[in-house]
Amino acid sequence: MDGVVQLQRQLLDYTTQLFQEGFLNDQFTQLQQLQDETNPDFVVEVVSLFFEDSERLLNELANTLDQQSIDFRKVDSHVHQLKGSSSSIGAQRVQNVCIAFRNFCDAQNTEGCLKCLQQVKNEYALVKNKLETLFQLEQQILAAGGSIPM
Amino acid sequence: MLIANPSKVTTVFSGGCSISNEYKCQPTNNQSNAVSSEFQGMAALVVDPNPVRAKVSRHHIQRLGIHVEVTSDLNQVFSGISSGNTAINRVLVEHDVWDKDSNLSALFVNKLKKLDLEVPPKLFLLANSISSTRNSAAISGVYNSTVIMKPLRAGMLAASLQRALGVGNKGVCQNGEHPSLSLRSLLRGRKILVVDDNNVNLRVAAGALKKYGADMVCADSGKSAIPLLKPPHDFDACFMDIQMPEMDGFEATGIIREMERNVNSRIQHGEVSVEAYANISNWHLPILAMTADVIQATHEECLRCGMDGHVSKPFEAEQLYREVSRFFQPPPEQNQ
Repeated sequence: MDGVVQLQRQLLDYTTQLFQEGFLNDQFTQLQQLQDETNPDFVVEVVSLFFEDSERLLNELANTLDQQSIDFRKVDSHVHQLKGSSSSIGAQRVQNVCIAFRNFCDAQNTEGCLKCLQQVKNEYALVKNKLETLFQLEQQILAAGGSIPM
Repeated sequence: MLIANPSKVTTVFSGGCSISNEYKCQPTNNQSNAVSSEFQGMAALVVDPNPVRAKVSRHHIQRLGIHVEVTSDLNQVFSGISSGNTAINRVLVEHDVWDKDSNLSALFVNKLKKLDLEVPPKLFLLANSISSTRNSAAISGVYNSTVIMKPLRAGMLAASLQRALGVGNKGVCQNGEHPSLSLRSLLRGRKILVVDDNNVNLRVAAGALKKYGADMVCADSGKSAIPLLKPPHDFDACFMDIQMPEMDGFEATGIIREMERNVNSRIQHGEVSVEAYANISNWHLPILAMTADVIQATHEECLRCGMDGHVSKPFEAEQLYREVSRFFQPPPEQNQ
C-alpha cells in the first residue's frame, strides 16, 4: 500500500505544479468533477478528442499560412476553434496564445501569425506531454489497486 | 467581507432593522430590479480581514438592498448577532478566514448553532476556486451554509442568496444545496439540443448535461439544428453557440422563432388543429446562447434576436442553474 500512497502523492504534486505553472486551469478540475460512474472515462475521452482536434487544426493553420495569399479569415476561424476547445478543457497557456493569435489575424499581420503558430505548437506539445504523464500516473495508481485522489 | 468599524455597527442596529425571518417562496422575476426588493431590510455581516476585498464584497451585497456590516474576525461576529436589536440573517465569511484556523471555524459553527435564535443566521462562504470550496465542503454539510464563488457577480450573488432563502425560486425552497444537485432536479429527463461546431465543446457539454440527468442531442451547425426544432418537436430547451461558420447562433434563433410564430398564428386562426401540434398553442422553446466571451453587448444581442438568456462556455454550474431555473421547475415529488 505504501507504493500506492507514494504514487498518489506524486500525482497530487504533479497536478498542483501544472496548475501553478498555468498549464491547466480550473476548467480542468471541472472536467474531473464531471467524471463518475455515468461518465467513467470522461476526462481521457475529452482530452483525446482535444488532441485529435488540435492536431488537425494545427495542420490546417500551417497550410493556410503557407499560401501565397493568406486567407486571414480562414486562419482566424481555425484559431477560434482551437481557442474554444483549449478553453473547454482548461489548457490555459494554449488558450492564451490563441487570444494573441487572433489579434494578429485581425491586423492581418503575417509575421505575427507565424510567430504565434510556432508558439501555439510549442504550448500544445508541452500540455500534451504533461497530460499524458498525468494519465500515466493515474493508470499506475489504478494498476496498483489504488484510487485516484481528487 | 469584513470591515471593522464598531461605531457603524451600533448606528445601524440601534434603529432596529425590520427583518423578515419568513422565507417566502416567490415567483422569479427576470428583472434585476425586482431582485433587490426581495432583500430589502435584510442585514448581512461580512467576515474578512482584508479591507479592500471587503469593500468590493460589501458593494455587491449592498446593491441588492441588504444592509452590510463588516468585521475582521469570527470572534467579533457574536457581539453583532446576539445583541437584542440586531437580527443579522446572514454571515458571509471569506474562505481564508475559515481555512486559517479550523478549530476556530468549528467552534464558530457550534456557537452559531447554540445561539437561541428563532431562525439562526445563514452562513455563506466566499471562495475563489473549486479547490478551496472542497476544503470547506465538510463545513457546508455541518450547518446551514452555502458557498458563493468569487469574483462576485451581482446576478450570481443574488441567485445564491435567493436559493438559500428559498426566495424567488418558483415555489421551491432549497437550503444551501450544491448547484449540481439542484441542476439534477431541474434537468433530469429533459431533452436538450446543444448546437456547437466544435466537437470538444459538444463532448464537454454532453458530459455536464449527462451528469445532471438530461437527455442531450447534438447538432454541429445552425443549419442542422433548424429542422430538429420545427414544431412539433419534443425538445425542452436549446443551448446555442453564437459564433459558428455559415450560420451563426443569432440567425439560427431568428429562423426558429419565425417558425414558431408561424405555427402559433396558424393554430390561433384555426388553420391547423392544436392537436396536430401536441396540444401546444404557444410554441416557444427556451434558447440559451452559449458564449465564451460574456459581455453586456452580447447579452443585449441575444435577447434582441429572440434568445432567452445566455450561459458561458464551458458551463458554470451556478450560472447554468440560474438561467435554467427560469424555465424549468423541479417536479413536485422531488423536493430535496
